[in-house]
Amino acid sequence: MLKNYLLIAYRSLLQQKLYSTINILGLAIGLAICISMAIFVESELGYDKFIKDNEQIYRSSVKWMPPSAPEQYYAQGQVFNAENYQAHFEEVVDATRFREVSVALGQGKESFLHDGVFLADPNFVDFFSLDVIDGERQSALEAPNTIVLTQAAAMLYFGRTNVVGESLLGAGKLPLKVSAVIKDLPLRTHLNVFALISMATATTYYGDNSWQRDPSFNYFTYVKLADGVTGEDVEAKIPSYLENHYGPGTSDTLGFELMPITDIYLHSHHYGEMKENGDINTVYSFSVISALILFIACVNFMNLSTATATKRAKEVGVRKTLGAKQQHLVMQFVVEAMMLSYIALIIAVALVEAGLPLFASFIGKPLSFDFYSEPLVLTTLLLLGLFVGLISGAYPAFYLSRFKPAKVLKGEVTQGKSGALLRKGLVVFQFSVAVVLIIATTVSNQQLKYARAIELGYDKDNTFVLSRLYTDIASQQRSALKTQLLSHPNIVSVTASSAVPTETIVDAFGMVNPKTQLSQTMPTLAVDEDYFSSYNIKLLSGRGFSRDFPADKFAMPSAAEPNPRFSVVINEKAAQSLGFSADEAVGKTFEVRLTRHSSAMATIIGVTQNYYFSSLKTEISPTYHLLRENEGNSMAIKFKGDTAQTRDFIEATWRKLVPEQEMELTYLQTKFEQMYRQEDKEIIVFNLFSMLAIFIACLGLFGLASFTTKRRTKEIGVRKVLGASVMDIVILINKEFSKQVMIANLIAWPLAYFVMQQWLNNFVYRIDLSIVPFLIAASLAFAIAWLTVGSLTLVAAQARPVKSLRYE
Amino acid sequence: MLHLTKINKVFRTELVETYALEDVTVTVERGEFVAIMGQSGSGKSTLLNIIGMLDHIDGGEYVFDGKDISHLSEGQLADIRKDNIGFIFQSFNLIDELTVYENVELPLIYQGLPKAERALRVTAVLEKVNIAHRKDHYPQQLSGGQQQRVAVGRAIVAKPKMILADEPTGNLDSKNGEEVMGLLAQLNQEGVTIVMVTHSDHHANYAHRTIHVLDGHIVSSQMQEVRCA
Repeated sequence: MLKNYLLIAYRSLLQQKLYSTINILGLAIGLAICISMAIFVESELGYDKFIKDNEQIYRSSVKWMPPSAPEQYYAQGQVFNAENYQAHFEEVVDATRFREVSVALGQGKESFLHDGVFLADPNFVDFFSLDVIDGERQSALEAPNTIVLTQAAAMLYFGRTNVVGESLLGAGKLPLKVSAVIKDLPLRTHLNVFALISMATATTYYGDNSWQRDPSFNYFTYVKLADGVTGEDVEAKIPSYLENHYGPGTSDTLGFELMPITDIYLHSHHYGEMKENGDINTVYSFSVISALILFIACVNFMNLSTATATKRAKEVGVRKTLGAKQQHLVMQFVVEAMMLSYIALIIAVALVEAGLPLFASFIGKPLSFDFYSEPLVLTTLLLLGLFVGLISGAYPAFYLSRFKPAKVLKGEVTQGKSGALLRKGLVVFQFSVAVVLIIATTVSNQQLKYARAIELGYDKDNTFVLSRLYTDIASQQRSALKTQLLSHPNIVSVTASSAVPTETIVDAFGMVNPKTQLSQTMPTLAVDEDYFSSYNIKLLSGRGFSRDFPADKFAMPSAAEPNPRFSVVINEKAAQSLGFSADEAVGKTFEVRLTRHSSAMATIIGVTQNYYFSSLKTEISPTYHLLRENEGNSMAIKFKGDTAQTRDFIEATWRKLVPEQEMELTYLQTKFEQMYRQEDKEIIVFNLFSMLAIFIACLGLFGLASFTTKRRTKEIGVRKVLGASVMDIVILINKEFSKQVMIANLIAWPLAYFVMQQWLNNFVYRIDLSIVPFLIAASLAFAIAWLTVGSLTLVAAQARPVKSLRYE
Repeated sequence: MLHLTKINKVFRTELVETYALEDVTVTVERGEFVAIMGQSGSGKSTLLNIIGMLDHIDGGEYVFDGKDISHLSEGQLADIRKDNIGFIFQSFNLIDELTVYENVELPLIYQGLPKAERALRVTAVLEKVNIAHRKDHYPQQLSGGQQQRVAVGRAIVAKPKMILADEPTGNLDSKNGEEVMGLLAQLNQEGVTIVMVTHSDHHANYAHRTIHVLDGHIVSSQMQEVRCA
């Protein structure tokens, strides 16, 4: 029986080449996208899963609730959080902390400042189950002045990995001995680790033990909870803990958030993340769109099968008279659907095999597809084929198997009203999806363009960035560089700062809010006197740093001056988080906790307008600018006139002053664009998928239209005989589909409006929804329908009428 | 009215080439009523289709109303057809989705007549073919004879100079067949040229002249001795 089914299925597949091709092609594309997306989503959801006991590990972030401003989350907390967790919460069985340090590491003259260098607790390697390939696992981070390198770091500094016992120099003076080499961390982790310096080194590094009471918010804190305890259980106890230890009222403005480590990559976008994380919304939108694409392909199948039913009616009649029951026929048609579905699946798997490396390298994610070695993947694939076959085959099977033999054998097969209605409904559905997708892509592209074009608050044009000025040799030449560069007529201004816009602000001190007297964090950026004028950052009140006021300069406490005073320029956001307006803030003095035992007094001398230092996606953080002339890691060079000429001059100057070090010069605009590369790629993928969805919908429409024109061949012939022109016929057939496209628009518009309104609400700076994307979508949908249907009808209508009449 | 000279029509399949018509020469005068007879497959319907410009010729010359139309495009032919020729088919070829009234109105729409004039002419024609009482019915609600009367109405509503009828009575019983033939004869008396393919000797007697076709050739063309009307 099954053999007979398969044979018939195979022959009918060959007989209806056009419809089979449309079905298989649509399904194959749909399945290929679905499989690729499943791989992508699985990969995105699999971050940090390599860590042992990951279900029990949480990161503690600081939740700051200023009275007059929205909540702010900081990924990093204070140095003593980790031990307090262990001391006061019995649920916490282990904790670890680490802080990022910008220490240039190197041997001899060459040194490199690299992201991901941390001062870390001794248990770090075990806590995150990292693989030690050389050296002592347990004691690697015990002793002061020891460093654990990743393979990548070992290769960078030594060109090999068997380097345990070798020495490195930190910041040109701190001796560090390599105690272990660990495997590079897997790609799928939110941890951005390059090298780990033992926490005990902090005493040498900072000069004394005071770092142990450092109030700044610079320490990542991770806790491991006892089995059966959740982060929420612990979070519930935090307010009372804070009240007990920091005084009544503390929990009104301060809180700790415990986030599961495996959630961080997709869900956490706090201030001070180790690196830019992924986005759960991307995962959602990719999942939804790939499911839709597959469903559209299934709909094509249903549509074409019921539409071409008449062709199979006679066969059904004959089989029934020969004794076939309805379930036999249902079975037969389902087998046919399965066959198509599995053929499509094989093509899809081939497509994925071929296309995945390209897709993976395009979106910059490690994706792999091992269906042959992973039984689970293979099973899932087989089930997917079964599912798609059932979804698309079930309705046509019941529809076809219901034909009455007496009628169909007499040739009386009516195109059932219900069947026709369902087909129209499905076309409407497909077009609704297409219209929603077109609107979504248009709106998201508009929003992106708008967001990129918003006033950044600083001038990024015609600016070169000279990096890696922190090395010993370069830092000695910093002021000479500045002076000599300024001598060229093309160079308008030069300013050095600890970071340049598009980078992240790493440093933060603790401070006492002058209004509330509560502790809060103070993200700082070291700049020179020319910073604000050079970037053209507007001051809302007060003044910027000036050489006329020597007291502006930042100073660390010293024996001579244990409680120094200095000036700060803050941004509007910082003023707001202190509870002041821009005007009120000027002149306010507050305590800055540089170390536990020493503090300084800072006076606000000016408030700048908010400007987007980092990505537009993250909110502007409160920023405190300090005047530290010799801290500039990078130098921004603003120029006018010829770019190449200016570049040559900068290079020549660098070679003259710092001949031993390679120059690192970038264009600020390029750094800005790099910031959005990932986002741009995701948008491209989204656009591509939308187009594919529309393409598959078109395939279905094409099939259905070709069927309709065939069915109406006689009518077309009669009309032509009666004097209808080709155009009359094209319009006639198009009218039918236009109605469906119209209804699809009516359904899609409110839906798209609602969804896009929600989506736009995620943005601080957003466009207003205009009618334009809706009109674009409608016009496109009509254009697509008319072109698809029109081209087919045109062919039918141009045929000599006698042909269409003979067909009958 | 029309003059076909040495017309050829070839049907090609992958394997064979069949001459449906070979060197056929026919003249039809204005106001004539011509019957075409022959066995199935003899080429009579092909001849009618060529006369009606529904099919193209593979050789020879076709002069219609004094004009050589052998090399005109499909669009130009459609224009000539629209203004000069009405068609009646054996299987009626009414459009199922349109009512009786709308079926008859269709040629006038394609001629671009205003609605009011269309209404006048359609109503008059429906009266003439005696189907006005069913003008809002759909074709499938009518008997075969009624459907063919609608088809006749549709063929004459645009006031063609010539009507081509392909076995107009083939699907009808004898009573309905007579009725349709009566209508055609009446139209002919009013001056309309009629060319009709038929299997029935009896119905061929309505014509002035009968052309016999066999295997793609005209074997005889004779005037009727008796004319029944």
